[in-house]
Amino acid sequence: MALDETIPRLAKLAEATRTLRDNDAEDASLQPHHAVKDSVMKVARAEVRRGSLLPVYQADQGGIRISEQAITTLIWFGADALPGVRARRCRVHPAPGTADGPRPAGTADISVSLRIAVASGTNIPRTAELLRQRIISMITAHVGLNAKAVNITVEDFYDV
Amino acid sequence: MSDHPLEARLISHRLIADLAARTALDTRGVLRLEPTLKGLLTHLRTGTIQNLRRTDTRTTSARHDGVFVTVHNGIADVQLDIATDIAFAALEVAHAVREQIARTISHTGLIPGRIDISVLAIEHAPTAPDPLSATPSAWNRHDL
Repeated sequence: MALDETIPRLAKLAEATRTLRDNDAEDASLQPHHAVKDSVMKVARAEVRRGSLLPVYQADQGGIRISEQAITTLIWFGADALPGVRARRCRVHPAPGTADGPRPAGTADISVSLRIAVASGTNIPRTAELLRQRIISMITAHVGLNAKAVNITVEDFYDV
Repeated sequence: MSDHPLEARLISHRLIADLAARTALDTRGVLRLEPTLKGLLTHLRTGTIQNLRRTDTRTTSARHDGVFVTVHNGIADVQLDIATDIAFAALEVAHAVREQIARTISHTGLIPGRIDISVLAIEHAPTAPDPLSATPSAWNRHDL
């Protein structure tokens, strides 16, 4: 078939394909059910909240990773259990140089930034140091990570 | 008739996924398997293909949320996404799940390969709902 005959036919085929695709996009019967959309969006939002996954153990037979959100929950739990402290925004970051690779548990480093409100009359330096030690020990015991830096910001007081 | 038996795959990746899910849920400290976007989209894709092929979709279920299994050359690789109880050390729970799943796979005759565990959430174990006490959602702290 000559080239000058082929090109118009290919153009027709492209046009027909485009029309079919456009029709499918507008066909209500081919649209996903709203429950499906809701499920996808719900899981997607949960995934965003989880943050990244930090490797805590690596071996040839597999590894263990823990989400930033899981570590944050642990920190909130530890902070709230301390009298006179209410935990607020918390951020967890892997320390620089923490990369994937064979690693026994307890050798990966993270840094923590935690904002808190304290009860009025609280001895802030002493409470902050207690909180720091508590966070370090909880993170090591529960998820096998080393909290190399725990930055605590007291941003508010509350009445008791 | 041939003297050689026909080769057949008796252990499917679905069976291993089922066993891995049950083993994980039976491990102390595991609250549930966590659904992920990857798992949901895989599930939807499988359902769509079955619809197109007009096969029975009743066997498609979400019970394998959070479990991915591949079987190749008699080796089973497992990837598991879990939520753990805050009363237990998450790292120890994850190690226990890995060991139990490896043992379960060995019992099927397959060789356990890579078993990767992701702890996506650490939470309090659910208790009976108390209508008088409303626990504020942890997510609200992002807005503080």
